[in-house]
Amino acid sequence: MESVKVGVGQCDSVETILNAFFNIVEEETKFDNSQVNSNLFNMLLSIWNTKKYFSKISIPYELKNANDSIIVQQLIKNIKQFAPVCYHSYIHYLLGELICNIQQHSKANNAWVDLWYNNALNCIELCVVDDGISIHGSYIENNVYCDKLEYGDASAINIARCGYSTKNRPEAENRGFGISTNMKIITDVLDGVFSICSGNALFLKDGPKAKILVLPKGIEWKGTIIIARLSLDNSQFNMYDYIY
Amino acid sequence: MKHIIKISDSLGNELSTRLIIENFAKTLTKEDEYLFDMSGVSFISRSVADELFNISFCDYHVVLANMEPFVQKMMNVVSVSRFKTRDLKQDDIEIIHCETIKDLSDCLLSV
Repeated sequence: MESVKVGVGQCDSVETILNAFFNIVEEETKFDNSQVNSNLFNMLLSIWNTKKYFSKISIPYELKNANDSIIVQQLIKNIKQFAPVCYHSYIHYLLGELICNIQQHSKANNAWVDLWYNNALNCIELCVVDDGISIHGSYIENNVYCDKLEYGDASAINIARCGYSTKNRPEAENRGFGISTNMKIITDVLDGVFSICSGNALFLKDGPKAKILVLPKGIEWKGTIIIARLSLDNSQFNMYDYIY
Repeated sequence: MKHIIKISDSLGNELSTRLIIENFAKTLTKEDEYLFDMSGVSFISRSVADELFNISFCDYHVVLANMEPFVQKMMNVVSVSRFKTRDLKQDDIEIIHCETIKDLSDCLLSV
């Protein structure tokens, strides 16, 4: 599989990629490896990879003092040559919303964003990772929708994907569109896949099919990972038709 | 006092995240009036549009001018949705408890 990557060299196997990812995390951010049971998590991602939900490499960046516009522009610079013009604004929109979620909700010390072009499938794949308080932790921290969190992380992912925001203004429910809108566009319009792993739950949506898995004891990510793939085959795509 | 601010000079041509507007708003005062010249701004995200709406219609005396069509479109989307009640509901979704790695593996392979 050919891929375009920003910031890190080519990798050609899942193992190398995962090792590279965890090494980067560890070296550049003094990541506390005890947060995650690496072998089990690697295994999870390896299984994932056989279904082509997860692919190559990540870029670490400093959240603090980050100029998000510059980050997004750097990320999409190389992708623009592969994606039709009608997708450019949408890729920008998608990354902006996901990075915004990290900045606004995660309380993460670190985040990693990876975006690449999958030549074989003519699609863009992305992985956005943070080491924050997780989606569930964000609801608890803000003391909102706690009555809807019966199944912990699984319930939290479920209400987040439905648009329940922790930060609505009293007079207007004007937030919570980031995940819900992008998920719909990617899976319903762009023939893609959208996945969220947060805490001990994993949400998978592939076209109309969706499910939430509560992971076995010992497998969890203390933070949130979003992985998505979107096809570039829709030459008539106009993001503004789907944003409301 | 009235100020004219060219947003593309201050913040760039493509505005992605809410934070950039939130931070910029800290440089404004509630007593002054501002005209944001949006010419040259080719893209704003929904979050940026929402935050611009907050500061222009709720928090400060701000008028937006010279918006490019896509920027205007996003502002319209946000301003319309601000006056609609949003019907939040949870779709039915299957929540599967995986007790073992094998359960998890089976579930992942069945998606």
